[in-house]
Amino acid sequence: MLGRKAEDMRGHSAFDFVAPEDGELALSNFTLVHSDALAPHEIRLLRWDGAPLWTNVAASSLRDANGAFLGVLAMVTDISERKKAEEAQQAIERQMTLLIEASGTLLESPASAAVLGRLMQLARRLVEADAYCVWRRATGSGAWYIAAVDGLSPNYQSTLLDQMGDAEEIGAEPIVLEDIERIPFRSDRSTAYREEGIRSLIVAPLRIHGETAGTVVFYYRSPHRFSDFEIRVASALGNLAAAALSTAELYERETKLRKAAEVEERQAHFLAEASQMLASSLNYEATLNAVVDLAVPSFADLASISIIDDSGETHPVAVKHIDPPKMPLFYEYQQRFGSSENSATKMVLKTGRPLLVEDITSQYLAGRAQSEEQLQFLRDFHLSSLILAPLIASGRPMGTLAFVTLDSGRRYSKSDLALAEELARRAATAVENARLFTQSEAAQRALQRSNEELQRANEDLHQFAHSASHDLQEPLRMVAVYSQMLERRYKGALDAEADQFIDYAVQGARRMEMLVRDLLGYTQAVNIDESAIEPVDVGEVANQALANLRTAILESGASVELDPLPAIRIAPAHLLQLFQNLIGNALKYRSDAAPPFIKISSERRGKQWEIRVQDNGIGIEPQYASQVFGLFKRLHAHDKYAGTGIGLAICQKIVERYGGRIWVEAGNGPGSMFCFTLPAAESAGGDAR
Amino acid sequence: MPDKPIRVLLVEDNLGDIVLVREALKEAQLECELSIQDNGESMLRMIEKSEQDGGPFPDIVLLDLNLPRIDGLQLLERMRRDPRWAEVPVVIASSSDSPHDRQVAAALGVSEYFRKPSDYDQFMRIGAIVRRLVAHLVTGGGSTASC
Repeated sequence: MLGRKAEDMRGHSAFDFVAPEDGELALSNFTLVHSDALAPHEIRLLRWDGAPLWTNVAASSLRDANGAFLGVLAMVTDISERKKAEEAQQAIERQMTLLIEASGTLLESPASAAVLGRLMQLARRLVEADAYCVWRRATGSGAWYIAAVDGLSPNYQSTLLDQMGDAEEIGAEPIVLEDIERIPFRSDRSTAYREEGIRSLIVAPLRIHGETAGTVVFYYRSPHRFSDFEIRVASALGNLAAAALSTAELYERETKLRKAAEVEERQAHFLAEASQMLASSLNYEATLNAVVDLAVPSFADLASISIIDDSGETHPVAVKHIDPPKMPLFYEYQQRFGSSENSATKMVLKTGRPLLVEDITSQYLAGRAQSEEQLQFLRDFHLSSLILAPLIASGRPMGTLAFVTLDSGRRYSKSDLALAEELARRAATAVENARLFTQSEAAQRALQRSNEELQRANEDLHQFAHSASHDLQEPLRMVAVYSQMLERRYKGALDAEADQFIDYAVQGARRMEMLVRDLLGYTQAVNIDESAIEPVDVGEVANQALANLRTAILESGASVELDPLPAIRIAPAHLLQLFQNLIGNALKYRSDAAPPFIKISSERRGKQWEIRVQDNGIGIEPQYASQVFGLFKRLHAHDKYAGTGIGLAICQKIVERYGGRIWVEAGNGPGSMFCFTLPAAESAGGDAR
Repeated sequence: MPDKPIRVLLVEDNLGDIVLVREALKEAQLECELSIQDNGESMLRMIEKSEQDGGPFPDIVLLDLNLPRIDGLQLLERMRRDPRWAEVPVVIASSSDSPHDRQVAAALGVSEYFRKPSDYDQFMRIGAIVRRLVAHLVTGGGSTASC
């Protein structure tokens, strides 16, 4: 059993054949057998080659009739096979326990980095390989990369990474290579394996959602025969790792999405709040200040909005620094370097494109600074990340919006840039609206002011003309009366020339009197109470005018014809004056050929009525047709036709007061036809004939 | 001939008009005693003095409206408050054609409202107006005075 010959054993103590580790056990057993208290037991004996051999020993003492101890009879059975099976079973149980624990440990951590760390630990405990590696495929590109490694040289890692194309597929089953030198695998990799000393390996695929998303590989530097159990353990570890990684990655993806959503929500909230501010007020400087206040510190450590003024210079109108005592530094920088032609602000304004510097490095600053001094300034700011967006309204850059992060280390992303651009757009619109409003308000105020001034000037003029006319009348009366008195008393008493002089004085005073009277009429022509405007029967007023002019009509032998006439909206006194002036003119400027004939007619013109006063008098040459309505405009000498040149001016003033028009036409036949339009009396149904 | 000439009081600040009124009275061949008050204040003093001492007061007053310091309508109203002065016929002689002035004057019972014209002949008509009043005073009032 021990592979020893009997003669070699004879004469030796039985203890000499007990494995040293069981020596003490053998001694105590010997004591026990003396008292016949030894049960059959297992003990390791020494084989001839020194290897231990598991045996079962059933021993009992040999005694004489007196019960004296003679020796021991032991029945020794080789139980090495059973022992081996038992040990294998124990190993399985141990590994099973480890795997069960592993599943708990692996699934416990939500971070994939932690999962990988634990996976490596477990692999070392479960599989006694020389090296371990977790290979992963990138989602999307499918490129292989090493997620975790233990025991492989960097050289081997990079060689393998180079060799593993994106397309390399691994199936669902584990790959088992017991001796690469004897059964070659992937000849292209044999050099790499050889250099790394790899002889054997087992590849357990990481199956996630039915695809191989990676592998766990166990490397051996000597040939290795894998038991089914080892293969299953490796596979199980792979499956467990796949589950844990998948869970961890899912969690990480969700966390990332949630964080992104949170950032997005914060951005949207910021944009919404800022936009509301921008739209709420037309005081843009206050609004822009509110916007930068809102941006710091939730979105930036330093926020500033600069606006180009009328002279083309850019000035910060709203600035907020997370650390207010640092503001003077910012202003000083702006003042000293802000207007430099190649400043970032100027570039953004020139190109109309925004600037995003995700990470402001010292190289970046060195590239921007024009001088050592400027560089020092820039360094002192502790800039971290920067967004500079142009304020563009109506396609024209009008300023910039700057968001800067400082020591906080926050880096702006493209989505932050998009937000800043949107905000800049809205700020630009707000500024433009405010400017337009201010301009239109200023224009409106100016218009109102000049309107008021005009009105005041008009009133002053009226007042002046009125007073002047009144006050002129008194001294004028004296001149008139006394020149007449002179004429009466001294006509013929002096010489003929003196008589002529007195006559001039009398005539002049008379004309002056007329002028003053008519001028007074002119200034009063449109000063009328709104309440005096009413629907008026034109025919009735025309008849009243004719009655007032009865003497002149009778003297001249004139005949008058009235067509049916409508109703219009006017102050009756105004219409009366119109008719008196026009009919009076018709009588005054009569032709010698025939007695005056006057015809008054009308015609509807939209919302107005056109009234015509036609005569057969001397007429007006067409080139003077518009001139006759001017103040003091006369076509004839005083000695031929007396008059002041005010009557038709009064007529025009009245007609225009009602939004109408007056003009003169040649009419049919000799004479002239004066036409004027006035609003119809709509209340009378438009046609009140 | 009457023992006492008619006393006409002209309240007028314009010398030109004083001359014209005198001329008109002459043309109308009225022999009367024409006295002048050339401002509202002196006229008021005259009224008050005559009230106190029962002193002389005119038979006819020719009153301008546009007077310095105290205007004609105020004087007219003051006169109407004194029983003796209230009886004196008043002719307004003014260059004003204002309806307001005409209405107030009428309400205070003036005999005539004469608007001063710029025509000499028409101005002379004020003489005829005074003459008519004098005639009325003589026949109706039984006044001892005549021109």
